[in-house]
Amino acid sequence: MDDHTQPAAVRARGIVKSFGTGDTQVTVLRGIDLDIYLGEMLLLVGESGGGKTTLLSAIAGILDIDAGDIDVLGVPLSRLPPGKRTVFRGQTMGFIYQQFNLLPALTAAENVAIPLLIQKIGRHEAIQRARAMLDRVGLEDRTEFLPKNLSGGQQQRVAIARALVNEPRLLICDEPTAALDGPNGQKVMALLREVGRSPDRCVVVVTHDSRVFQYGDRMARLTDGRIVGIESIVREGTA
Amino acid sequence: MNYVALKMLFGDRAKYLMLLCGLTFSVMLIVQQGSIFWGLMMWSQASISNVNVPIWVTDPGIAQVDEVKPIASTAVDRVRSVDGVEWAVPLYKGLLRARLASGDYHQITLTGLESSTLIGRPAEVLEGRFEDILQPDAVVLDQWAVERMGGPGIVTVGTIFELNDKLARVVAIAKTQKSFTNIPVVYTTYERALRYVPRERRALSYVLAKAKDGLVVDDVIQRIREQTGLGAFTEEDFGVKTIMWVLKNTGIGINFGTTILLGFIVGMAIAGQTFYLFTVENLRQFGALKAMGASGLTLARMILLQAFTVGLTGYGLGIGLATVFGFLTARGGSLPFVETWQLLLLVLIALLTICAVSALISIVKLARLEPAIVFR
Amino acid sequence: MIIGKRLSVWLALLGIGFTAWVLIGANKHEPMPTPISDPPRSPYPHTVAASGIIEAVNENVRIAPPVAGLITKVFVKVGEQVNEQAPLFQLDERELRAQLLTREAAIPPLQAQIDEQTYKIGDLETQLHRLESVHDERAVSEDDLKRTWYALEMAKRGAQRLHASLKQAMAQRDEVTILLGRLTVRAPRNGTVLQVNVRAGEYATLGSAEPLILLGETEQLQVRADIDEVNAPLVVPQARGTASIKSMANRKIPLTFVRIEPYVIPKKSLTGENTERVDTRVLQVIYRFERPSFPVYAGQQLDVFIERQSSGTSSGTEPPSTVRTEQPS
Repeated sequence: MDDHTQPAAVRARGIVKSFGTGDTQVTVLRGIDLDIYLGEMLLLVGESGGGKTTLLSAIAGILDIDAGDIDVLGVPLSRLPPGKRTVFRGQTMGFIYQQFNLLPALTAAENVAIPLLIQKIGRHEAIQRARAMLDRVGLEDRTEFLPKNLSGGQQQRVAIARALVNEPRLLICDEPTAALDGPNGQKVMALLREVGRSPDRCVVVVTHDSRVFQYGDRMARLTDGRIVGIESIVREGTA
Repeated sequence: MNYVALKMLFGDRAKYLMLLCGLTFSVMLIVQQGSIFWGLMMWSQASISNVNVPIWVTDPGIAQVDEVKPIASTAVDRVRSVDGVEWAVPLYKGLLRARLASGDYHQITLTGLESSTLIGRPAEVLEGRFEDILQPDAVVLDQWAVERMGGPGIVTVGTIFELNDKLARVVAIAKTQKSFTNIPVVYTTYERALRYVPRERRALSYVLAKAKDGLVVDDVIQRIREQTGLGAFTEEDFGVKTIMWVLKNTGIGINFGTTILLGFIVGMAIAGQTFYLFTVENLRQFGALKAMGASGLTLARMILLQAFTVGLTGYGLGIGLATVFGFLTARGGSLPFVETWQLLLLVLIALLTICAVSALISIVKLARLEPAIVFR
Repeated sequence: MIIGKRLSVWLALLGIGFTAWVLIGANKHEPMPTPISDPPRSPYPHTVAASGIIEAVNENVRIAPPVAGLITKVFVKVGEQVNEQAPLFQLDERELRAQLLTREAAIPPLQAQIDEQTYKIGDLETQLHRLESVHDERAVSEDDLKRTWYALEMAKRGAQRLHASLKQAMAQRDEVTILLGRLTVRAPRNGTVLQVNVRAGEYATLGSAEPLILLGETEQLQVRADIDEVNAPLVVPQARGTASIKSMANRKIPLTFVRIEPYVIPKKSLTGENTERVDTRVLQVIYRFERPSFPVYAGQQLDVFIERQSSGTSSGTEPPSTVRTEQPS
């Protein structure tokens, strides 16, 4: 898996980000260089406050960075104006959150359809595709359920379906298992690996849950705003 | 995304109902207060609307309709001489005391109508025939006079009473708008009215006129003013003048005005605050949408759509409830309640403004929002 | 559509609909009730309006008695046509009749006396003639002759005096006859009896406010129109006019100009006694008209419209009328 002959899908160079000003200024990222390749699942690990989520936001183009460059699929994301960045994000990225962030008023299928609706795809078609996606995550019999009537694991699976429904090139997951118990976390990670990982997509997962490290291809460890090591993960058995 | 916005709005039933109740209540409060106020104002100019003629001519110093300043009797002919006046007739209006057979005294407003045309008479008669007013000693009462003088058991068609020691016989009961002072109105002919009232140097109270069809009424009024030196007003202007007088010279304006203003402010504050809270609570959801690539414009449109949907729904419910209230309580005319489209429009604009403002605050908040919060 | 699934939305629409329905119903400006008869309208684009009263063309004659006295007979009834000199009523004449008898009785004795005197004169003339024919101065004394002549002359004078007395007596008789004639009051001219305020047996006094008989010419009527002095400058001679009686405003009576009364008088109130203080003076304009097909009567009130030349209408050209304002009373 270390065969990185193809160019990196995400290329981050010298990323610096600090919050606040003056005495209260806290520098969270202190010059990060990171390449993420298509087809891989990269885990960002490290202790709390290490800057994992900040780096993730920066890669997603949600957060403005103070210095450095981020190219995503050849687009200089960090230099795009915010509006274009949002459009780009909608077209190329999928998100999975720790708190799922499902809209409570919408059914599972409708929640899944949101990214398509944002892309101005007709509602009927969007719902059809959302149902198909839910089928893939194993929730074909829960499409008309409201989030409150689903278990945590099911909700996160809906969230995964939502993140994948518009076939993103970059899947960004922020602590997807933190709100779930052990078995459910394992199931979600397995699903991510099974459904999310594909040859023309890269998956970035922020986690501090060591029980799910095994699902990644590579693991970047962040400490104190710096990447202190990138290692490939050797799995028992072959994927 | 409009679908998503509406789903978000309607989906949380409890929150939606609370929001709707707040808005409905505010709108109802404002419309009801405003309508009662306007109803009172309409009552204060009931003497004008009950006569229902387009042009009133009288002394230029007149302050309001019930404060009569008599003018020379030739004024009728002088108004008739003005170009563009189709017709002009005299009207007597004055306070007098009526004495019932039982010995009770009541202050009444004596209204003398020109005898051959009876211009200025009420359109609807509840009992008897208005034309019988031409019989000797005949008078017509309005329904409120019957009420004030003791009800239909005491005063009805055929009742005889005294006006300034002269005989008056009731021949009909007319339906009129209640007046603010609620002084009973007694109709008679102009000539007979002059016989009832004590002798004064001048007797003519008003000249009622109409402009020829196709002419601008304001031009004709201007001409009447110039040529006769008298004060001429349209029905509406005279009504406004009377209302202004009432507002300035009685406590109604300031008392009711503050109540209404307070109601308006409270109502609008409730509406604004409820909606603002609603959007703030949904901020995280909007953040997630933003992270998923929804543009600021889309989100703004969603928030505005939510604001206007709930605003208009609350508006419709509010005015509907207020109207039902008015319809049930004020139908008999004994409670002042006059809804006008101007008030409804004002409330609508104010409500939409409030909704738009709170939506805008939310939009600004959302624009400033780092979508990164969704990661926390 | 998702909106359509919410009851609240339907209720809101219902509320708006109900409100609109109520508003449309309530705010409908009810039209003025139709006047029971048309109000008077001017047929001219520019007009001077006036209130008028119908009167006979020749001003009415208020017949009064020549002397106070008892009325014994009234010859005419109200509405009767009378010719000039036709008797109207008769005052009590018995006293004068009695006087006439006395006066007439005084004449025959005087005539008898005159006859007597004539004979006396004849006798004396004969005597004197005889005396003069005797030329004998002794037979007829100068004295006798003279005395006879004087006697004759005196008798002649006596006859003269008696003739004068007779004349006087006859004159006195004639006087009573004339006075008698005066007690029958006669129409001074042809006309119609408009009012009879007297009955046989009543006592007519001099200078009563009410005429005993009102005589007028009602075949031809005229209108006396009162115009507020403010509008007086707007009226020009020969201006056309129409009138209508109250309550029949649509039946127009065309008017022909007669004259403008040159003196502006205080307005007479047509509704009551004229004891109030005068605040307006009016110009009176007289118009003549043919009897219309419907009955009109002298004394009836009219609404009069007089045509005004448009040149005089622009408000700026009538300074006196534009500056006057009502005095606050």
